Amino acid sequence: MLNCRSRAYLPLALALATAALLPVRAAAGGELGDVIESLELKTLDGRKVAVASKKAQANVVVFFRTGQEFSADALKAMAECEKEFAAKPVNWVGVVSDTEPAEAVKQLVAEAGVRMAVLVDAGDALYGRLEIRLHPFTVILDKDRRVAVREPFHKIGYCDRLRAQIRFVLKEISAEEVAKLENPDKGTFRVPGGVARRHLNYGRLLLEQKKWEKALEQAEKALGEGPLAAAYVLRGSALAGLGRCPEAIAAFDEALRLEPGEQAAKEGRRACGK
Amino acid sequence: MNMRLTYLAGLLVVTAVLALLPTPSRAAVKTEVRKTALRRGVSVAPLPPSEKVGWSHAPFEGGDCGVCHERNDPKSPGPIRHASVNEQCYECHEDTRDVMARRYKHVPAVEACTDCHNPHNSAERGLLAAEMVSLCLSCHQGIKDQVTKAQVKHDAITQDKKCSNCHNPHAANVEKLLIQLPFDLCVNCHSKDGMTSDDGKPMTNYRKFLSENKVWHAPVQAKDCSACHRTHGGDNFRLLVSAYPSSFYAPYETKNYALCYGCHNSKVVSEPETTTLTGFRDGSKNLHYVHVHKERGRTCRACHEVHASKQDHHIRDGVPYGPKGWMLKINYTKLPTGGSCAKTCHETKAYNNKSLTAGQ
Repeated sequence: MLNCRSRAYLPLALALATAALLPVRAAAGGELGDVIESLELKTLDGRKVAVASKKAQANVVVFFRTGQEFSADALKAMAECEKEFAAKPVNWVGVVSDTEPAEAVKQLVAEAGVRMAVLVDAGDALYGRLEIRLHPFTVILDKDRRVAVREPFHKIGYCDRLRAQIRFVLKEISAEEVAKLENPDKGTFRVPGGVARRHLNYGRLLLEQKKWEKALEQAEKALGEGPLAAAYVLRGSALAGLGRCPEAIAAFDEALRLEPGEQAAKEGRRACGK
Repeated sequence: MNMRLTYLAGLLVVTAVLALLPTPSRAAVKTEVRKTALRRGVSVAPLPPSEKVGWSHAPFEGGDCGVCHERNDPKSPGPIRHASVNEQCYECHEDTRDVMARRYKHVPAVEACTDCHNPHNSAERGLLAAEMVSLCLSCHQGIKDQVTKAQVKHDAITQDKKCSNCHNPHAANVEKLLIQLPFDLCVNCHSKDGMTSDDGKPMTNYRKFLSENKVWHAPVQAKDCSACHRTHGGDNFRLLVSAYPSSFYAPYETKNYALCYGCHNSKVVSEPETTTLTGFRDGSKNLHYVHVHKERGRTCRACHEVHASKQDHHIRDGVPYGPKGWMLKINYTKLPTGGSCAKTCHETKAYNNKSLTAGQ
């Protein structure tokens, strides 16, 4: 049996055990959790630049190539994201194979409007190490250079995903919130209760014009969608307008049964002499 | 007298109730008068008597002009009562205001409902100003080109709810005003047995197929069918966005695989030797290159199932052969140092991608 002190240490012990089991594999492949060793590559201009910055909380590494629609689309999306995360500790680098023509790469980057340094991967070594088979492809490393995200291109919703993944690595949102992007709410034509609301609104406008019968019709249509206090108020008001106060009071009573605080129903009852 | 009293009492009730009802604001400082649709420039007046009316807006049908206009006189209704068309519409259609709160909005819907709807009457359902496809394509010229010039058509454009099978023309939570992510929309239809394509070939029931094959191609996983398929119509078989050989055997040419190389690195296939680009190598000998670079080259589908498979690397169980579609097994086995394939295509051959030298 665990005493109180033992119980207090239990979470710590569990955390240590879990940490020991985490897949931290320096210089291994590019699977999630793998740590990529510190690495510098040459830029198109021959400068040496680190793939991952020590100061960054998220290092976005974008693998792309020239002459390909999706790479161009991805870089344009990146340009937007770069601006959005400009004030945050996010480091961006692009990576191209050394077989890519430098001038074409520069042109592609300029057209997309990205500001990131573009590194040249001699002999496709980094591609091979991270086991990347696609273009464009984005790997996001966290502050410990651990592979946190591997994201291929998506024709639909790419920018949303990228933004969410970066925010996830920055710990601004949870994995559940990222996962929600996989299942966005269905963009239906109708919203719940929408049809009833239309009838109620239309009925109220008809009441204003003293078109009692037509307003009553709209109240009935709204009630056809379900028992709504507001629809009973509309029915009561239309009936009162027609001089059918006993029926109006019954409608107001029903509204109050559904929503005891319904002020318009109380007023309606009072004005009908009850 | 009694009747008069009752009527007065009724009026009192209604006045009291109306004063308490949460009605939208009526601050019509300056009324926006639009006699034509903003973008399309067509009239929004009631249809002339010579035209067939299919649907009428309830207030127009009932002669209640004053619901929307300043006066209840059909001959001279005056301007609308609200400062903008949309505010006028939302007075009843407030649920549409909720829809318009979604992230992706159709610009004409933001500007004026009357860009697409005739507020009085129409021959079309939903009071659309014209037949849906022609209405949408009157602005979306690029899509119009795709739809009208496509050699391979997609029935989703012209059947059932037409454009709104997939798009919500008001607003949506997915880019391109899609009602759901592409995959969720596609399987709404492509989950039936017995569907056939334009050329009469049977089409896969994808819900069933994907439930039986758990290794999904990345675009399928990402619900991104439009990465490979041009949903409005196109010139490639199966509505593919780019070239891909429709036959089982084809001599290798990079441009024939533009579809695959839209994402995959062409060097995975084009380089005879590599130690980084693919795991399908024996030492540094690129086995993709070996399979494909033949006069009777094998196309990707010879070994890979494009949507989903039971094995890793999208390797299919077998390939259909002959008119009856007999399945010739590939018999792929994953090994610690690579893998092996056994009869039927060839004698059992293993490869080692952990070594730099072939045959190790």
